[in-house]
Amino acid sequence: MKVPDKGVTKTDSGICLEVRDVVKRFGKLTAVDHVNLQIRDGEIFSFLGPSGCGKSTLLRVVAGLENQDQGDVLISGQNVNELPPYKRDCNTVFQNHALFPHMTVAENIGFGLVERRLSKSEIKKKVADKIELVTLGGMEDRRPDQLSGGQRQRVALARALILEPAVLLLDEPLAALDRKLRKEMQIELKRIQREVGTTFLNVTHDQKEALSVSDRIGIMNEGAFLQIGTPDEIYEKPGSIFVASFMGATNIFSGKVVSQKGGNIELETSEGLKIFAPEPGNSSRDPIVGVSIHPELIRLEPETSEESSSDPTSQTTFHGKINEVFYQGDFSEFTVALKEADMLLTVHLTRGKGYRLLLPEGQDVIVCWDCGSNNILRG
Amino acid sequence: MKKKRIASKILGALSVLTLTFLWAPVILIIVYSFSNSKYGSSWEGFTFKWYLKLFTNEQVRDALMRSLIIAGVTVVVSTLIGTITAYGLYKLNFRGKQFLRTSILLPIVFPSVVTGSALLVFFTRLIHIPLGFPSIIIAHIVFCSPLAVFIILGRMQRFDWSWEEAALDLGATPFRTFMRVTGPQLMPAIMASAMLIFPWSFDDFVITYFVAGVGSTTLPIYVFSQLRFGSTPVINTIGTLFVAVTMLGILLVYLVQKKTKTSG
Amino acid sequence: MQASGDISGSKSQAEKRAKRKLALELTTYLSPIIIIVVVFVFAPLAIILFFSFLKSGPYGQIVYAFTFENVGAILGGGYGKVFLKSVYLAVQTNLLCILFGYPIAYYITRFGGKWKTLWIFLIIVPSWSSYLIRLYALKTLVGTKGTINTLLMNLGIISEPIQILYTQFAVIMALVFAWLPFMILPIYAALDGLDRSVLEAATDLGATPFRRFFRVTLPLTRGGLLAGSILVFIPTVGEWLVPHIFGGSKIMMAGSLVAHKFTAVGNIPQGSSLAIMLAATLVLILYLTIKWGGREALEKAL
Repeated sequence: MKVPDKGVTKTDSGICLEVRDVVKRFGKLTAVDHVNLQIRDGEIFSFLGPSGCGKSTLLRVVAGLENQDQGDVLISGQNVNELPPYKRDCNTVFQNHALFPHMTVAENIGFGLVERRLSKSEIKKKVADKIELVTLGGMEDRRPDQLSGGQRQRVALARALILEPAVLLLDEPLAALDRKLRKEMQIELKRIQREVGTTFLNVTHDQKEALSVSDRIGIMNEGAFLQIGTPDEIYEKPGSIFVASFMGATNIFSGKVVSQKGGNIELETSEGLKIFAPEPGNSSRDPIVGVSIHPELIRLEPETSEESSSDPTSQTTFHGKINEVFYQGDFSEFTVALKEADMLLTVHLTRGKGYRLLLPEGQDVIVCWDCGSNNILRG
Repeated sequence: MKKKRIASKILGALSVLTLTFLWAPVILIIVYSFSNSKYGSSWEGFTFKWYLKLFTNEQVRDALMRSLIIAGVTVVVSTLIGTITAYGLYKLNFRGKQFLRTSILLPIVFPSVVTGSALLVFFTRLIHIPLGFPSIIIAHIVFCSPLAVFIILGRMQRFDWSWEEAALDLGATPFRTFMRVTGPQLMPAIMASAMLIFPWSFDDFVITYFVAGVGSTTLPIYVFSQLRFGSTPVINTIGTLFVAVTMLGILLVYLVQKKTKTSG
Repeated sequence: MQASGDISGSKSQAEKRAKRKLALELTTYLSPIIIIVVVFVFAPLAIILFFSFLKSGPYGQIVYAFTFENVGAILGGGYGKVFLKSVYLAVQTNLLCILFGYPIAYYITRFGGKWKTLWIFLIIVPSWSSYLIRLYALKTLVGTKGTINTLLMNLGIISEPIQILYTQFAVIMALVFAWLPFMILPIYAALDGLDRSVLEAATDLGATPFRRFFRVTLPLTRGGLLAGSILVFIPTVGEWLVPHIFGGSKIMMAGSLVAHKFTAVGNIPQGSSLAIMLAATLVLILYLTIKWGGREALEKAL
């Protein structure tokens, strides 16, 4: 195991990158809207959001490739507003890799060191190190167009890491790769980050990628962060309708709180359904606007004559009819039309759980889940 | 299927005829350049003497030198101006950009007689630049640099500008970025514009004729002055060499393009 | 104030800096071309515009007295007819170029096979060979003592030379000869860029080859046709050498009138007014073409 390079800047505060009240407009469009953010030393932080949400723009502001209209960017505690990209202590892995087509792999990786006027032997040594780090041994003299997508990715990574930046910026670098390769590269990315210890700032629109590689995730929409947290927080406790639906909690009941008793809140949805959920501990200023439930937390039972009435404050139960089944292999996705309201629920049943995966379409079912799984949404 | 074959045959015959129309006169003067006839318009046996005569003809040699110098200077200056202008037009957004682009088009689309006569009046009546080398070179730069602008701009529009951002991001100053990344990447377009401008300038007759004044005979002007005598063996040989050089030049461009394509 | 002002309210320092930077970059990159355009394009045009309202003295000197005579001679007199004739000849040339150019471009794309590059080479070479030399070569072929006449007389088919030179036919032939490659190449580029699957789709949907050509191929190559037409039409209207060599004093075009006034007669005011009028005519034509959706085609053509 390698010790992280000494060049990695550690600050006393532990904050590697800070963004203060940054605004960036393009004409009348506000791409980044009063964003505040702190990224800690050595973490992998992902900006996650749909395309056009401003995540790439924010990254480019940090890199210095765009100038913000307002606000400050601090790298390792130093204000870099006035610094052009070539003087900032951060490097970027570009979306399409942007490898220089007229240079070999080694020349690409050593590009920045030449600008730092290092001696030839030093450059050679460092380039060899990085080529080993990204496992590209033997490819030194190839040109970018002789490489596969994954190899180009590695070159781009090595080229940016060789300058030992305080923070490495990744602008959707995996987006162009096919699914299998993307999975591989996610693992690689995490391995390399753990090895060098550099702070990674990763931009992506792929939820799965963000969940698997990140230490923390910031969900962005319309130029602002909606929620920042660890992957499990973001996935399991989405705080708003947007985050819930974006992270795949597709079943959303919007409604109002009508009562509060025994540690539970009672919610009445716009369709007139009553749903109980555990009372949230720390109360936010924002009002509760609904609850969400993940498809994999819902159980389906074939409807039988003997109706077991359960306590609605511990178990949410509805009646429904299976509308359609989409077989996915490791799980099956069902859409269930509720009888109590004009609403479709999505349910995932995995093979492992021993459920009958092949409930036929048109089958009447009971849909139920624990009230504790109901996740409260605010707006 | 038979019908299709007939259609392709008819089309083929038509195409060959069209090509013959384009080439017959040219082939004719190539043949006549080796003919013993002193009028240069009939075949009277093979000879090489007109070529020997051409190389000892001082008027031709002077004209050729003059044309080469003019075209050389024009190529260098126009390509330089074309490159930085294209870069500015591509990178910068400002009011009046569209107007500037249209204005740059004017020297290309105006008939040569208009450009030539306007420059002649301008040079002689207003700023009194001596007619000859200076006026010819200025005129050539005026109608050649717009060509360079649009050739290089066309390439820039297909250029991956993230290369430039990557270089800046990796610590290269804007100047170093241009020298190490942008410049080398634009080189094929810059070379192409130089290759196109050279014949454009070398071959120009009309504008040059207007602004040349007395005594600055370029090669096209020499050819024109000989035209009134009808066909002459000397022009036949000049024409043959012209076509040969053009063919070589185009082959060269083709081979260079093929090479850059295969090596990325 | 520009649109950005009302959003940010107060002008920040960043904005001022950006503006200064833009001004610096504008001067660095664009001052040479602006000097060329202003000093060597606009100023000369302005001068001849000014001169076109002056009189010419008996010895070719310029008399500084304001007159509409020159302009009147074009709009009302015989010179106007020459302009109309130039446009008429250019239209004819253009149509003939399409008529001969489209089939050969089509043939090369569809049936060129491995000879494609050679075909294109043989079309590019004339387009880049010396213009003057090519006209000279054509004259050698069709002149009174030219090869065709000599050949026909020797064969006893005709007893005296056919007068081809100095006819309208000769002028149009020479124009087509000179400009045809510039029509073929853009059409070829358009045809070659056609997605074959589109043509296959048309056949699949029941179009006969004939119908397919008119409903799919031709509309999709409109851009190439337009580019070629710009390349051929614009220079043809202002042509001087072709009417000079092949029309003599019989067939005059606008370009030859301008050249005649400047180089032979030395009447600068009259020549200036003709040049301005010619430029105006072309700018008008160009404006209409661009408006008709041709800016892209125009820039592509170049």
